[in-house]
Amino acid sequence: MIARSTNNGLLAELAETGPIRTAVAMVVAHQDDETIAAGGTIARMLDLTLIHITDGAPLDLAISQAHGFETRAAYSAARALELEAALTAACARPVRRLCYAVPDGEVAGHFDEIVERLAADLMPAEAVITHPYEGGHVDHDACARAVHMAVAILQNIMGRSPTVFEFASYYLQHGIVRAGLFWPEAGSPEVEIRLSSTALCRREAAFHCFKSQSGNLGYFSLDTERFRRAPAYDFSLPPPPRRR
Amino acid sequence: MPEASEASDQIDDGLDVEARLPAASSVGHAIRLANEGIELRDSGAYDQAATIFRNVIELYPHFVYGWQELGVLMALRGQATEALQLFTRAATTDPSDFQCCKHLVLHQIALGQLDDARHSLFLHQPSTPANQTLVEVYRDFVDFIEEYPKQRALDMISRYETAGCYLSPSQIQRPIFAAIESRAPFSLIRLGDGEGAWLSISPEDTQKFERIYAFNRKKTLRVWFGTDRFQTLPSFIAASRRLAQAVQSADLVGLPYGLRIAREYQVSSLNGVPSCVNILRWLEQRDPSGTGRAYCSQDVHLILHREGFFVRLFSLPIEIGIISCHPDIGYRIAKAFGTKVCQILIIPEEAGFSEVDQTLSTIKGTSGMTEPHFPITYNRVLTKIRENPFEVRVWLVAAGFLGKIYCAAARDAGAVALDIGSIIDGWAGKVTRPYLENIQDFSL
Repeated sequence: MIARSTNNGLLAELAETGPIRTAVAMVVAHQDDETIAAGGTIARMLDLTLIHITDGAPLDLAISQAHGFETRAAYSAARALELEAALTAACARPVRRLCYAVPDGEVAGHFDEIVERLAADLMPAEAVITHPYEGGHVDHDACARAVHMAVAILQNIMGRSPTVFEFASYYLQHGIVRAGLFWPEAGSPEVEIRLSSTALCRREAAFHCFKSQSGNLGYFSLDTERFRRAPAYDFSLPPPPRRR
Repeated sequence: MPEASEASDQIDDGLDVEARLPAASSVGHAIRLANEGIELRDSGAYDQAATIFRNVIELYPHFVYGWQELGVLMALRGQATEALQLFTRAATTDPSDFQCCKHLVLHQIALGQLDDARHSLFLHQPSTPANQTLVEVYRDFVDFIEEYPKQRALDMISRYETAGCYLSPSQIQRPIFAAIESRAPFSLIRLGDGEGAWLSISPEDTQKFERIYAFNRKKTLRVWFGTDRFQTLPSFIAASRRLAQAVQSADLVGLPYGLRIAREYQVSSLNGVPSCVNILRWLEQRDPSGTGRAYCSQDVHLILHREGFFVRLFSLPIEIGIISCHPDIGYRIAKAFGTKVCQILIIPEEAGFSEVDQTLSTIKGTSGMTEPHFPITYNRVLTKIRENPFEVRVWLVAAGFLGKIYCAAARDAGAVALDIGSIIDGWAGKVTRPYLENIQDFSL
């Protein structure tokens, strides 16, 4: 029983087509990141805790207005509703949902409180799936760092901690957006999941629910999801490519 | 005699005040005055409250709640005869008002006037089918009290308290630590009102008091799960049978104590009396001598907290698991005491304490659970307890009725399981019970 929750057990479950029984916590920055991560796979996660760090709306009112909302709260509420629809479309049934309601773009500014709360919320988990540390979005990198720190705290106080995995998101390389791929990392083999037609339909339907984010989501191909065991990042260095 | 707050909590059948007043123009003033009196009474200003209620009665003699609320005040003051007269006046002024009938009947029961209580129920003219049902529930209650008067109940608990296996506060810790040390399975289960409502004595007994039992079961279900639809659900009935098995296999059982039982009779608690008594009746069938296992007070969780048990437990180098609705409590314990909290199983809050924001955008301080405790979370938790991948040695269980079944499952898996109940709310800084009012006494 222990094997499934440690090391690469989750990757093996992801690579298969059956239900995923490992207690997984998915920690993402924004409402849509979970769909980018696992829109086709999330339905198989039977013991999923889904944690959104932000409420999806930046403090800068102009950004909410650019999306057609008069207030930050209205934009945030719209993103929450999009998320609800997307989770339904993806047939996701998380057993636990949390939103820390940090403003979009402000994860680093609330870092300590997020780490503290994550440490508590990740205790029940056997595995965590989160963003890679790759310079794609400041919140993604801060989120990855917070998860790794929280897990380190748990390891320290409990003598065990959930294993950290990550999903392919996006990063910039030579000014080009690389979406749905990992920044190559030696020693972190990937699992590439070619979605079945049913899973593909779910992911596609979930993507369509994020009307306010359609521009960003257009970068992603729909038929593949990638996961890997998180590398042991050195967060004192900036994310790639500058750390190289 | 019945006290206003507890008695009126028993049934939420509403005060249809406006329908009881002859003139609409009088309604506002009568209600305002009565509410003012209630507020004064609740704050302890009995004389001022009495003056106001008498004023209401004088101005609006057909306003039944003037009589009723003055009756409550008299009962609180210990003036039972005056209270009885006032409740009678209210009930006869409007024989279709169930609130008035209820106050009168509960007061008569508290005074031991059971035939009078039956007669009051007979005279009541129910205005709705729901009220007719309530009348029948109260008839059952009168019959139950007649068969199990207070002294009989006190004698029953006294037999357990004096049988030699009843642990005093200073004795409770020893068997628990002994089980931990010897790696023996052990479970401590506390039995309260809710559990008492679900322990069946016999088919004949169930039939005899069918209406009050059904009423109490529905009530407990609504408190725990926010719905009473499980009452006839076969899977829940099966789970309720497992409660009986869980108690049977427990090593230490917390029972309602004499003072608590007396209190339930004192306030004529529709739920408390049958539940406490049925716990004892159920035990008498299985362990009549009271020596089949160890017993203690149902307040054992509070006793253990006050005796410093948990601080000692948390300092032991053993694996602790926690089942509760407080997601951060394991982390706080681990951080404060260096405890090896190796598994947390989160359950939804009891329906009455749920604070989940439907938008899910501002959830803070809640379990975040999206599924009901029964059956989905229940089955998941049972599976995790049985698998026990992190070799939890001691489970701290705060999960209400279903928590007793978790304790039994943990015991079956070889662990020590302690039904710690609402004390964990205190650790989490949440005042969910009156005894947690001085919350600073419970902080970790």
